[in-house]
Amino acid sequence: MATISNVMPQPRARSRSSRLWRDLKAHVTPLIMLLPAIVLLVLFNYIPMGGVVLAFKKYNVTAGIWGSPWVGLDNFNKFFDSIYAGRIISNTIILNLLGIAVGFGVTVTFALLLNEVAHEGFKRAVQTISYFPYFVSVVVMVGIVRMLVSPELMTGIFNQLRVNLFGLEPINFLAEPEYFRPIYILMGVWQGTGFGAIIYLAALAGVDVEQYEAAIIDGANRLQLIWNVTIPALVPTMVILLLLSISGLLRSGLESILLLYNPVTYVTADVIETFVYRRGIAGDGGMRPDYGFSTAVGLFQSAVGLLLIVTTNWLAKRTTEHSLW
Amino acid sequence: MVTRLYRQGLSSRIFDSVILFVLTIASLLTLYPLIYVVVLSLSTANIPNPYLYLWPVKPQLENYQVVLQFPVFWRAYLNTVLYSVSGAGLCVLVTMLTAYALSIETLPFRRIILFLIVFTMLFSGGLIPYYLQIRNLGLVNNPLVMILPGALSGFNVIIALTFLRTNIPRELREAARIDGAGDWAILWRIVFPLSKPIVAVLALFSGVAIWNSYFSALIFLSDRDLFPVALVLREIVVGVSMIESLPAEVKTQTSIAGVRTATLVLSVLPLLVIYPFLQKYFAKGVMLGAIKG
Repeated sequence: MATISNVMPQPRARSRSSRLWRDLKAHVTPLIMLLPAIVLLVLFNYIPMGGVVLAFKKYNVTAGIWGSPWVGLDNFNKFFDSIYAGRIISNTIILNLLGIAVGFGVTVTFALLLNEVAHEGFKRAVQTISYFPYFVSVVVMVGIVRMLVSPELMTGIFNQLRVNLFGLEPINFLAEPEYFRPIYILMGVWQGTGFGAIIYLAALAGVDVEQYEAAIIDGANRLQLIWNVTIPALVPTMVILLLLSISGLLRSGLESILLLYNPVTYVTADVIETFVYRRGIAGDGGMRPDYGFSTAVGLFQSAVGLLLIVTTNWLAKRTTEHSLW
Repeated sequence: MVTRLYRQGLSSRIFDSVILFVLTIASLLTLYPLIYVVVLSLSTANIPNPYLYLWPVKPQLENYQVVLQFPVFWRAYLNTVLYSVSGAGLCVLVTMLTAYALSIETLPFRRIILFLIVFTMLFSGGLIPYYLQIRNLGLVNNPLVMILPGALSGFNVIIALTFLRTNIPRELREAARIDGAGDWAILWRIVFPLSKPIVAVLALFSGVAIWNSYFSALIFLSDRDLFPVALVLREIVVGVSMIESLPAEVKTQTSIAGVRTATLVLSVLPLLVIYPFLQKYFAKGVMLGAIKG
């Protein structure tokens, strides 16, 4: 007998698992699209993350990662007790802080200057020239730097200047620890300024015209305009970029340092990543790679890095309204 | 520019001139290292006390001839091109697929997956576990190691996602769905054509990054036939290359410096050539990334 409940379709069971199942079925295609990403993530990011346990073990080649014996915090102790810890940590931080400070100053100044140019053609030309270095490979860059600072007068321009203009002896800049930082920072400026300025210039392009007009009516001169209108407009961008830089404080330009340094300059040039590389893969002057030890150092770097970014983001949220998330 | 309003006053004009001057100097300084290398590569060796190198000393092309004779170099170049092109292609494919899927707001687990991707930008297992994993996967000395691990980058996914969110209106997708299009069709016929700017940016950034990197090759490749140009360059730069131990007869007009710089120039050359065409995409791309910020 036909009744309402026979004729009308029954409402589906509204349980969570069947809803989830329905959602999954409806989205099969996108989920398949995500498969490559997930595979890649698991293989190259998350399994290695699990490998971090090596930091607490003493690696035994035959036993592999899982069979090697636990040594707790031994690797960390060994690291922090050694003379290297202080040196590489301070080098890393100093290089990064210097890099951030100098880079920041130069990039912002450059962007501000460029922003003031009225001639579009000149502006574009300067911009194009400025971010070309970003595309030059680190290897090429270091090759050029090595030649520029070489003690050979044939190629070493800086030494030519020393000898001919100042009557000094040529020096091998790359063999002097105290020159490493300036060289590294300058290289960074050369490569990064143009690129960094783009973001600021984009932000500057969006500044409200009326603000300028109001300031001009109030009698501001060019410098005052910059100080009171342009720079404040950049503050949000600056904060975000600063945040990103600080969070990377423990990382470093591994590729460029690896090419620029040598045992003589380890004192100022050796940073956490190069240390991990030498101790873990390359073998430090004949030492056999110690995986547990290197992983511990690397873990230290990653963990502190994470802490830094979370902290600075929280700080930024508290003090300004801008933050990363 | 607004300051047009202000250009009349004398102090303003002086300001302008100073800026022009400073920027011109800056641009020249930026170009100088490149000019230096090119000039050196074209110069004749062993001239005592040359100054500043703004023009080749006795221009000649022998340095280039020497470099171009080396099969190592050609092989490395081919490798680099292969790695960069395939790597860029793979990166674009994976990134766009992922970004599209994640742009579907009703996707189950969407937030978790996004978080997992972003998390990799904040924390990683470190060099050693990564190295061991590559070894376990049998990718050591395998050309795939140059393109697979870098294919998915959190940063790329985010800018692609942002792009899709701001440029591809939901209505468009829903209209297509009503017309019966499945996700593949939508991706292919609607999203990709509209995403040309971001695809260009992704391809550019990942291609250039692969072209220039040497570290992966350094730790994972032992077969010289697989070396990219960057790795060969590294040997030259650090001074352990065989290109430099040339037989004496070859070294008439050439010199170590000359050969070195010729190699450097040759490796930058493709970039130099492509750069003017690509730089407009580049500027756009960085701004796209900036919008996320």
